[in-house]
Amino acid sequence: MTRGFRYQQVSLRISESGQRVYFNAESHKDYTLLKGISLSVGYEAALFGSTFGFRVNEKKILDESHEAHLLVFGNDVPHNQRMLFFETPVPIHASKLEGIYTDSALQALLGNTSYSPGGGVIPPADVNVKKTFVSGKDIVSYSRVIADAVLVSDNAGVIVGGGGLGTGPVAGSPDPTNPSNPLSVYYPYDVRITMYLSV
Amino acid sequence: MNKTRVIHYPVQCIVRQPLTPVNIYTVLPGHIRKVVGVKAVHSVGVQLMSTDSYLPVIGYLSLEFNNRQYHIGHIDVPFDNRAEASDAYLDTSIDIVPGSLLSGHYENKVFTGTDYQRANGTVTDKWSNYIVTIYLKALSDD
Repeated sequence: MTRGFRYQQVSLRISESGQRVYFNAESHKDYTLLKGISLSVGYEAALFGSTFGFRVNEKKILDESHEAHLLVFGNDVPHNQRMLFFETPVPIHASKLEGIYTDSALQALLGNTSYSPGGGVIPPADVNVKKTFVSGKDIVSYSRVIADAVLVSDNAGVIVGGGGLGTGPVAGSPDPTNPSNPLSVYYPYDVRITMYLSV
Repeated sequence: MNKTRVIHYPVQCIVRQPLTPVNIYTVLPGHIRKVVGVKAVHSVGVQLMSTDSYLPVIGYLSLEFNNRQYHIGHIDVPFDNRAEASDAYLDTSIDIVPGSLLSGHYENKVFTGTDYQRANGTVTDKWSNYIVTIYLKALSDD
C-alpha cells in the first residue's frame, strides 16, 4: 500500500578533508513528485564551505556549488519544515537521482586570483572543479553509500579517479587536531540526504 | 520532467580587498527564463577575521539584470555562521533576456581599518578574502 508521502534517504560518509562524494539512486517507483530536499551533518563547522549538487534525470536542480549549509535546518524548525521545498515539485517516476557532496569546496577558492585585484565573480569553471555528474568516470570517490538504509557500496578511504582537490586540510578549514576549537571537524563524518517524495 | 522547472543558480563573488568595490559582470545561462527570487549570503572567509557567529551587515550588494536594464536595488548581506539556514528569497519577477548580463557591485563594510589594509593599498595578515554568493531562484527551460 502506498502512503501519501515518503522520505527517501541517502547517507554518505566523508572520510577526509576536501573529499568529493557522489551518489546516484533511483526514486521510489510508487511516488511521482519530489517536493523537497534537506541535509543533516553531524558537525556544524563541516557545513560551511561544503557544497552539494543535485540532479534528477540528469537535469540540474541544485548547482554543484550550492552551499550545504543552506540545506540544513536548525532545531527551532519543525520536523516537517526542515526542507528546501521546491515551489514547483519535480516530477519523478523511478527517476535517476544524483548528488555530489564536496567537503570544504569553497575554502579552496579563497585564494582565487582570476579576476581583478579587488575581486569579482569567480568563473563557474573554477567553482565546479569537474563536471562529474554525467559519466561518473571523473568521480573522485564515493566511499560509502546507503540508500534507504541499504548499503549500496562501501569502499571507504579509496580515492577513485583524478581529483582536483588535495586530500590534506584545506586552507581556512577548521583545525581538527585542536579539540578546544569549537569549529573542529572530525573525519569521517556522515551526511544524510533526505528527499521528500509524494504521490 | 516539465519543460520549465525551478533551479537555484549560484554566482560566487570573491572579495579580496576591504576598500575596493567588487564589480560583478557575468552572463546568465541561456536556459534561464525568469528570476523569481534572489538572495545573497556569505559563504566562507569572514569567520577567519571574526569570532562572532553573526554580523547583521558585512556589505551591500547592488544588482542589475538584462544588460543593466533592470536594477533590483540594494541588498544587505549578513554574516551568519550558524547552521540554521533559511530558504527565504527576496521575491522577484524578472523576465530574463536569454544570454543577458548580470551586473552590479558589492561593497564591503567590515574590517576596513588600517589593521586590515595599509595606506599603500595592500592587505595585512589580518585580512582574509571572503566569498559572497548570490543565489538566483529561476525558471529554467533546460
